[in-house]
Amino acid sequence: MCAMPTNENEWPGEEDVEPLSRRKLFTGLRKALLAATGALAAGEAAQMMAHSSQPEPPESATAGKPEDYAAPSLTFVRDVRAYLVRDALGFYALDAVCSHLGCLVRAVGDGQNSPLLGFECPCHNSHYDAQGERISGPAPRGLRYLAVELDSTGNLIIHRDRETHPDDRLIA
Amino acid sequence: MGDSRASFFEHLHPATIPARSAAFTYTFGLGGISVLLVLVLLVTGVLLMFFYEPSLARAYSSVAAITYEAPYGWFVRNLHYWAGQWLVVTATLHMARVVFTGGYKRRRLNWLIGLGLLVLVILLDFTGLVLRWDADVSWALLVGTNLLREVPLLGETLYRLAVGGETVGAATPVRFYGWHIAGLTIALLFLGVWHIWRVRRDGGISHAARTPRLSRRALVRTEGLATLVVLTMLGVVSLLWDAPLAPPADLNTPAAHESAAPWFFLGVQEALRFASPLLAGVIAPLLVLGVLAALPYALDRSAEGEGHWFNAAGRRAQIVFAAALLLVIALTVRGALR
Amino acid sequence: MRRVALAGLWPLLATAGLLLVVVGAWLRERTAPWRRYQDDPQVRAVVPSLTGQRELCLTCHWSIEEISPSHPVEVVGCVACHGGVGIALDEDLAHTGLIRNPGDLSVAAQTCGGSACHSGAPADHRDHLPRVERSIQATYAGAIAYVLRAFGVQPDSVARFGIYAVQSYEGPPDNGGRPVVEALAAFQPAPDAPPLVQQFAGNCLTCHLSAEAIQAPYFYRATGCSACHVLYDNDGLYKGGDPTLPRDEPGHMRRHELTTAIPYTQCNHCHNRGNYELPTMTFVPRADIPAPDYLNAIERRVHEYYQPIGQFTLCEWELDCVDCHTRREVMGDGYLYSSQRDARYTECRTCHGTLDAPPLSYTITDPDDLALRLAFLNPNLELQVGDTILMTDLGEPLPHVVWRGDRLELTMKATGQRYDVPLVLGSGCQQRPDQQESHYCHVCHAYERE
Ligand code: HEM
Ligand code: FES
Repeated sequence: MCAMPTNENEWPGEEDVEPLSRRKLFTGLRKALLAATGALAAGEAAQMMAHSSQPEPPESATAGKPEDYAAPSLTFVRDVRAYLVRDALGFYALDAVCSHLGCLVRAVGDGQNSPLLGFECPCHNSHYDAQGERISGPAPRGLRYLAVELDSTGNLIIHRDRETHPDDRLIA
Repeated sequence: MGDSRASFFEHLHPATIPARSAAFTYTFGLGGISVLLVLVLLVTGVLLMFFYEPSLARAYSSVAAITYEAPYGWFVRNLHYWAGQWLVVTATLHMARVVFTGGYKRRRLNWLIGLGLLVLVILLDFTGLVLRWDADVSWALLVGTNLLREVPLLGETLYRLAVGGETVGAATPVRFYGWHIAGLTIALLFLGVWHIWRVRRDGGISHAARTPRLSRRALVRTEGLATLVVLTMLGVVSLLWDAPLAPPADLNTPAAHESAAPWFFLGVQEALRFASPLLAGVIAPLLVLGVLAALPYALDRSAEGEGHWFNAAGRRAQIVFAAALLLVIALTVRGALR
Repeated sequence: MRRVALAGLWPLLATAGLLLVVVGAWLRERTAPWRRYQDDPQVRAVVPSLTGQRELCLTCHWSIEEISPSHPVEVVGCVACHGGVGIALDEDLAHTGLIRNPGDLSVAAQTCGGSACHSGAPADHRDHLPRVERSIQATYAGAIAYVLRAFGVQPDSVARFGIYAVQSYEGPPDNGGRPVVEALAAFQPAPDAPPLVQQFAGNCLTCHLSAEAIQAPYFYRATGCSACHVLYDNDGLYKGGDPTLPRDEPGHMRRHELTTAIPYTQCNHCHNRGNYELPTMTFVPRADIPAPDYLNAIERRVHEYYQPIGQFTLCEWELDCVDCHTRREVMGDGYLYSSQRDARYTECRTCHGTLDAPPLSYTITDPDDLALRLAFLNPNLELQVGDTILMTDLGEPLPHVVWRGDRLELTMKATGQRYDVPLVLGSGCQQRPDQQESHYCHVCHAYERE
């Protein structure tokens, strides 16, 4: 560029007439307003992005009549991602979601042809016993016990959103 | 800015610029405003992508969900809509400025790139409009795509490329989506960057041979101010006027009211009333484009008058351009008044 | 000098402008029009199982009453009946194509009759819509025929015209031999017809199912199916829970509810409201309603119901119209009749029997019996398999008149009030056995309006 550099700090024709303080005030204010605008706009965009109209997964699901299940037996109930176990005492349900990072655990043994030995997680090799207690692996705690109930028509319902005590059984 | 080292934005410009080129009343900042609108379109477009679902079942309902359910979705949609509409206008005015100041002189390649940008902008507007999938886009969709069929030899292929099948159907929304958010947008970004690089490559914005120079910092400040003003205007318009949304499209039922093309195609729609689809819908628009493309090659090859409004050397080019522009505007206005 | 002083001001102002825009967006988001109807504003979506399409209507109409237990909103939703764009929260767009009254006969084929809901097979008793379209309440054929005869345009009072052209329909085969006509042409008086006939066509076609109601107290009602099944108060004011509907604007239903428990007041929005004056062919509304304040409730009812010339018996003002008049009479049975006289077939003996025999009855054995379905729709009725109920000469069940041991008990459909039905058999009635039609009964049993 064949130019003669001019003073880069100045507007065209602008000399040192303007009080410095006023210019500083304007600039400071402008920057503050700009920051506020940016923050607000970012907040609005974030609110939009956080929106979801995706339906919630079911919190509970019916699993047929108690007499559909042999005693003892173990059945995976897909809708609530849980194992429905029937033992000599009654029914209970174990959350199949691993307490480590949420993979679905596999049953070892089906409780019918082979004894239910426990559960293992295919992701990072956590092991749980047949009662869902943690045995080994990175899982921080055992599997959750989910509430099992009978509805008015005599069907079993498993509630994902309600945890119970390991000794609780639904006696059918 | 006490620090006198150049900022990123300043680095995008040469260190000093001819005062004439930087004067707002020379370019009216139209190219820069177009760049700004493209940036707004990109940001808002990405936000819309989080929600838009290109399928027959979900296209319309996802637009409705953006408009009514997602917080600020209406605002983002309005911004995207208005920026898109304005871009057609600013790019056209920018082109007019280039013609009347002889900006195309010694910048023929960039003139062609710019023309490519204009075509892309219109196609982007068109494909975006169709994504709405409401009753108002039925005309645009059916007529616009059927016009492609009129193109000799290539017609059927072009139609399939646009529509994704033998007729408008289940494959069409995702087709238009792909074109809109990727195919055309990538081309626009590529040509856009090339266009701006060419401006510098061609020795900066056209200017008369001898003019005083001034610091780029002044230009950057003007640009900053223009950015704030344009964004504010766009925001106010988007707060007050909503992007249209009609009831869902039903391509199997005749439209209740007379369907209108999107405004930037009103001219073509009007022409279609007078001549065959091939002539009015394909040949005529291509002819206008051809004349525009040929402008720096056939109508004015001189280098004199560069940087001068209505320079004498470019008189012929200016008149032809003005005539073409007036023709398009006249047809558009006529269509709009129906 | 001044230019210089302002140099930094413009960017500052422009930035402030931009900030205002972002704040404006926040304000507009917070004050979206739909938010004003709820205390804790939230979008309320329903995905009715009938359509599977998401609907947001309840976001504004959130506390509207459910239309009926047999049309739960989770199943039917709003759009299947009311049209509109259910996923919009903008008043105009949401209401584009809105069907205010889905029961109107011009849309009923796609609303009530859609998905074969109420235009199904006659054998299932699901052909409500085609029957109603042919009922005399819809065709108005009787009044037209009567007027045409009165002015000498036709020799007899056999119906030839209706509000619209319509053909008889393959309804239940037996109608007891009552006279019917095959088809009606649309009534459109010829240009040379007598002026009074022209005037009749212009002034008087206001009392049929497709006619808009006269907008005045006691006349407010809807059209089509809703004319009977959606109750209107005499003041025409809405008293339900929809926050979007005005409370002080007459012309609205009482509540957003469908019912088969229809009180006489509903019938009275059309019937007994005034007279057509033949010499001028104008409608003259009754001048004696509302009833004077000194009357008690029962007297009021008699007063407001019957015109001074009316002749009626005790049960005709104690009960509601629908306690005697059956669905076949009121909604039609697929045949085209020339007059009310031909369409009606209930007699006093339908419930009271004759000197020789008790009324016709049957015992319900089939759990799908129509009587059980009708009783299910009316919360005032209780009926089970094994109950013995009355039926008409044509076999229509009367699910509200049940033998309880040796008592014949009638439950009023609209109020649930119970009566023992006295029988003629074994009474001191001196009527000749061959004169058992109602008008003979009226001779002795008539009450007079004071
Ligand atoms: C998306 C659309 C477009 C964008 C973003 C854009 C951007 C720009 C920018 C930033 C400049 C610098 C000068 C100024 O700001 O006026 C410029 C110059 C130029 N543009 Fe465009 N432009 C677009 C469309 C067009 C069109 C449609 C044409 C003509 C067919 C065109 C032809 C030119 C030419 C020839 C120059 C150099 C002008 C000169 O040096 O005076 N551009 N463009
Ligand atoms: S998720 Fe089960 S072990 Fe990691």
